[in-house]
Amino acid sequence: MKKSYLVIVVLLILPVAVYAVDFSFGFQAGLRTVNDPNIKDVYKNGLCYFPYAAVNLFKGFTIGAGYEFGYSRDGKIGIYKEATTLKVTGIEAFVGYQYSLPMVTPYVFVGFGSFSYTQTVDSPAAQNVDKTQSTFFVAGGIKVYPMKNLYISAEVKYVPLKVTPYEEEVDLGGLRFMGGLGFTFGY
Amino acid sequence: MKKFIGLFIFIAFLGSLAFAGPWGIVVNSDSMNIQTIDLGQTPPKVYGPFLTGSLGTSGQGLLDVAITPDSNYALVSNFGGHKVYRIDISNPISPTLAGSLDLGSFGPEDIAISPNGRFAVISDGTGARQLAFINLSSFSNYSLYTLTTANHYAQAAAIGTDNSTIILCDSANNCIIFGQINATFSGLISESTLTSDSYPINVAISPDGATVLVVCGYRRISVYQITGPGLVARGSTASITLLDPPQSVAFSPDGKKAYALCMGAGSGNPNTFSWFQVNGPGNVTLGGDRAATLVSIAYVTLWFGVDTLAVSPSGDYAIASKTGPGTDIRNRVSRINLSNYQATAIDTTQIDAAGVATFNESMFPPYNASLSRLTNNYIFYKEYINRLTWQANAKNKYPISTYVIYRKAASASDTTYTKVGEVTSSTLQYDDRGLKKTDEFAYRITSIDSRGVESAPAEVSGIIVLRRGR
Repeated sequence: MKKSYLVIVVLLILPVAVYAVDFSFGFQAGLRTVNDPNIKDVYKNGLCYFPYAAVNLFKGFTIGAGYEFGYSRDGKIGIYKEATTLKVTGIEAFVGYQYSLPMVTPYVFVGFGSFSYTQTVDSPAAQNVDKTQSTFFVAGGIKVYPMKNLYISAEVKYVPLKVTPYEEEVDLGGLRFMGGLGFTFGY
Repeated sequence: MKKFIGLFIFIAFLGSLAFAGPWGIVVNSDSMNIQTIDLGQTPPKVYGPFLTGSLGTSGQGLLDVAITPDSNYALVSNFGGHKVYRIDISNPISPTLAGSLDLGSFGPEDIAISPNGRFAVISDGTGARQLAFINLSSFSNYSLYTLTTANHYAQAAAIGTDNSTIILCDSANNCIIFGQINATFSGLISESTLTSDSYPINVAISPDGATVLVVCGYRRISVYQITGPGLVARGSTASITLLDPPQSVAFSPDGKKAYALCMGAGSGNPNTFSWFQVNGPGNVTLGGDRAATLVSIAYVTLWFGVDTLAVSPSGDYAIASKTGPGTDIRNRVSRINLSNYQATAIDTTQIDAAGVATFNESMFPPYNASLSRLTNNYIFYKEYINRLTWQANAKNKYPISTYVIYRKAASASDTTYTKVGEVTSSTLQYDDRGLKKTDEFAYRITSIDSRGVESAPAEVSGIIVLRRGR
């Protein structure tokens, strides 16, 4: 499933790459919050990581893709305080606009991601959850270039992710407060 | 977890009363009724007769009685009526008929109940080669088993403490038949014979399951030893000779002594009472012959297989009716004080006392059982749980080892109860987990004591009342 999304994203990027002004590769890490009070109660907020690649096409318009991972939280759940783990990952594609100023580039994105979530509970009465849900998201941030091709990024992303694997709707969405490094390679 | 929804169901439990006791029960063969006797009182207090007109008609012959290990029921055999009755004796001063089984052409004679209370074996007094196995959990059906050895039949039966070994008396062939009961309690998986002294008509197995005493009508007690499941050998004491022909034998609760009811010195003379010292498996010596003279009188004929002697659970008293059928009507049941062998006449006023048995107050089910519905929030889905809680019943004499939980669909018949779990005696709660929201079940909780005896159930069921909470 994840591989197929990745292939689709790559196939989307490649045709437009010929029109690219520059390429960017980056890695971000930061805090991931969770909206659902029950999720927050059991699993808490956690860290997540986001390697990505983007193509700056023309006049600041950008397209890119990345993979969010790292949110894997253990907790104790239910009446019996049974051991449990929740893991959320996502394949994301995004388009956005960035405005280049000397040394600083603010940007905004909208994107679409396919998020996989798994919940395991160490209990004979529990059933494992392993599902996928797609959703749009928005992000905004800033890149600071201390060197010509190297930038430091800071970004806030909001992913609304309401899922209903069984009878209960759960909001797995939340904010990401990320920071990272990236490289830009121009033509 | 703070967040869950509680759904509560109402409570039901069973209870009972405590009595003085120990209790005796006597079957009156010609009056066709039963009586209970408070053996602890002086003189012993007789209650009843009970169930006259409900246990067959005069001439059919009520013969034997046996008590379930939980002391809740007595089984009574009606030889000519071809029936076995189940009588609720949980309230000894007001027994009630709790069912009967028609065994067709079978002539119920001796009744042996397994120590675990799960089944009973009935001997056939008509001379057929059959045994009847009755499932006591339902008391709704029976299985007939035909002895495989040609021309052998059984008048008396006893079941070992392993709930597997069975010993039968074949008076026509002067032997015992022994073997192993199958897993479904419907027949034997092995069958062998050993010779006995002449005229074996009754049998008893010691509480430790090792020593077997076989009553032989020509003044002998044959001694055997159980060496394994379904395996029997002659004891190191082969047989004991008595002054009078014995009819019934019973062990003391600790297994250190045994007692015999004997016919007496000829027809018309009083029955007598003898005791034996049990020195070890298959090793028994005569302690006192004619240790007591009873109020009942001897007849020419002995009861076959009928247990007319029983020792109280406390070991303080024995109760004896008489050694054979007759139409005597008064003062024909005796209480024997086992510390001094003093016999006390018990005036039952009924005709032809036959089988006797003793029991203590019932074994009691858990107390104050209740059921509540919990919802376990796994966030993405919910698990529904029925939580059973109860209290230990302090009325039980023996320590409880296990509580067993049975379940059926709320609308299903009681025959569909199946075991879903068990907990140790220190745990007074059971969670039936992984249920659907719409599942509605009824539950039974039983106690099993240190002897392995299971109590009657406490029943819990009801209509769910939703209450949301945290």
